[in-house]
Amino acid sequence: MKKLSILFVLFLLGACAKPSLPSIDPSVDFVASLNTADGTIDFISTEQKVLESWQLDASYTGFTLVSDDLLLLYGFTLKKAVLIQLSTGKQLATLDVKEGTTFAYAYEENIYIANGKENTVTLFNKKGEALAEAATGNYPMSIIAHDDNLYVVNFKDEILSIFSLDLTEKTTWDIPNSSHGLFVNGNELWLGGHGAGSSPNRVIHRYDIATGELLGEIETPMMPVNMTKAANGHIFAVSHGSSTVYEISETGEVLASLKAGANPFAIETFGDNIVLAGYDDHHLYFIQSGEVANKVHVGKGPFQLVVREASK
Amino acid sequence: MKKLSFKIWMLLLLFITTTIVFLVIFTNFLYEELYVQHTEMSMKEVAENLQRTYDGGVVTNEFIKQTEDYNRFSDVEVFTVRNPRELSACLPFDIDYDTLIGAEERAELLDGNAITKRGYEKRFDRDVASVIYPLVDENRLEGIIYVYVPLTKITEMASSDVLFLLVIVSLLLICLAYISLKSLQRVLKPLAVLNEAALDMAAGKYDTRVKVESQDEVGELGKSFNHMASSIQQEDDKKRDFLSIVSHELRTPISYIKGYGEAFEQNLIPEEKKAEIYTLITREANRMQKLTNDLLTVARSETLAEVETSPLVLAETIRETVQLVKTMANEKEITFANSIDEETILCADEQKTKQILINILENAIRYSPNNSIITISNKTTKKETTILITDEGCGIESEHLAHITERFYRVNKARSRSDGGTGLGLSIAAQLVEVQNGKLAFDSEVGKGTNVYITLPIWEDTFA
Repeated sequence: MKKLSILFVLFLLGACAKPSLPSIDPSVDFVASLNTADGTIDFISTEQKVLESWQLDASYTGFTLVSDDLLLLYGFTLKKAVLIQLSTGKQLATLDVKEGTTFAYAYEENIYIANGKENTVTLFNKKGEALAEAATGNYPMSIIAHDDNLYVVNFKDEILSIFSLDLTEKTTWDIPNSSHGLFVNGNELWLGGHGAGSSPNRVIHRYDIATGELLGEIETPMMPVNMTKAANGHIFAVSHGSSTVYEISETGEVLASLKAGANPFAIETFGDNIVLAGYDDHHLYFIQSGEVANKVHVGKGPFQLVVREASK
Repeated sequence: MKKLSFKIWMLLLLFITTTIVFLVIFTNFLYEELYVQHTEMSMKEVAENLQRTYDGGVVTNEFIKQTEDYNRFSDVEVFTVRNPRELSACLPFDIDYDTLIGAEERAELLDGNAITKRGYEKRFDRDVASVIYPLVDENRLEGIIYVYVPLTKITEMASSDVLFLLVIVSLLLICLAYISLKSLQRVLKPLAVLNEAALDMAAGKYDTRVKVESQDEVGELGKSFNHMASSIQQEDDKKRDFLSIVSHELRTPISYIKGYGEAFEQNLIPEEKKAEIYTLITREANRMQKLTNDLLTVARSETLAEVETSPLVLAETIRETVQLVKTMANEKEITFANSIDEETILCADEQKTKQILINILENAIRYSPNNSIITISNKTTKKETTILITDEGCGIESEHLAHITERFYRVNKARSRSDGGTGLGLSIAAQLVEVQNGKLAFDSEVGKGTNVYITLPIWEDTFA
């Protein structure tokens, strides 16, 4: 009887334990794509080969690197976000978030979770403990931190909320509806977006990061939603409506444009490559010197990219 | 109890309503399946033609203008969309905007497949049939060609005239209901007339007849009713005649007896006449007795269901019968020529057979002249024998022959019963022949004589 009980307990433990995902060598650099249409993550090496593929067990809609060995996964319909150790593939902690997670942003030791149903931003530590929470505008999504400030774009609203790093609200700016994609360029905060209603947005707005004053617009049709700074100091912006990548100087001048990918949402710098995720054609595009140098097939619907360059 | 006409009318109304409903559904089906299918085919043709002119890259203003031009001359609505927001390009984002195509449609279109839809489209606020063709360049959905036609349902088409349509349909229904009711009444009216006639008949009005106007089943029924009414009336007439004749026949001898009785009572009869009067009274009393006996026989034979038959030697029976009527024949010096086959054995009731022969022979004697001969012979077939009795009497006219077996039928109406007949003899003979499964037939020639054929079954063991 005693043996039986032990067996039963073991069985329960076995049933509860999550099977771990394939581990990722901590010394390897990668760019990873979260493919939301089929629920996979593909890790691509510097050699532009698929290192590993993870099949996820829940409908995750976003991910972010919290540290070089810690990946946070979250989903809009999920009540828990998970922290997974890349070197072991094991789940280290869970974050009790509420349904409606739209975005997660890791900055130093903090994890900020935006919730589009509750209209809040919650601050967690790396152990998964919630530390603070603040109300935002309607549907907070894009987040970026700069100089002790946390900039939160309210996607279905016309305001940008600014908090201290411990989530004390400081101020708000007026921005267009459906804004998305934040980038800090010196003293400027660049903001992309989809545009409201049926008219697609064609520009990146340039705001004074200290005052929120609109400094100008950079014509980047259609619907610029993501930006990254390349090794040469230029900013690359992706406009998903026209599947175009724009190369922009630090002064905000469009230097070049390139049509690449099908409906790309994510762009990242990986070494001396600009990596672009084509949501509709399921490929990652490696752009070098203004041309597509290579493309790698990934899972269906690559929506976000993260880059780990551990060697740097 | 609901009338038959009401039931049939209800059934007709049900059929009419079902037909109208079926027609509406069927028309709708035809509209859906044929008209809409045809429209979809032509829309696909339009879209394919336009799609062929797209040569990749960004969808240009020229291309959009070309679609609009096409639209101007086509009976379908066609437009090109290149706005990525309408094409659900922002799909992973939760956009507060109703796009022209949904997520699944976008995926289909990205694979290069066309989409055919039928149903309510919020953008146009109506039911439409539409086809969407993708404009794809290197896996990029650069735009779509959207072709549609409003699915103007028949009901919607008449939506402004729905009241009018309802009124028309209602009027049609009322008209059809009225026409069917009137037709039914017309068809079934003879039945009501028949019903009334039957009630009249039951009340004793036997001269009731219905007017037959149609040649159908109801008309046939009317004819049958009239035939039945005639038969009943005839029977009734016969009954009346019978009763009046019986009372008349009885009254005559009673009057004689009563008259002479009273004369005797008052001593009015001279002595020398008394013997003659006694004979007269006895004769009349006998006639009355014979008449009542005959009536009794008639009444009995009418209710006779079965006859007890036995083997009967025909020759012997004839001889015995002839012996019984010998006295009567002798009065008129009539002789019998008997050539009956000695071998013939009847399958019959002895008493009844004798009664038949007596009645026939008495009749023959009665109407034969003095010194004549009555011939009796027979002819046998496999199952029966026919006895032939021939006299040399005055004969019977052919128009009377068919009636001579009727009760109290008189060939000569003026003739009295002075010959001693009751008028029931042949009628009784015919009944008795019939109950023994036989046949009685006559033929006659006026002035020459009459032949009587009595056919009776023979005892089959004779030939066994």
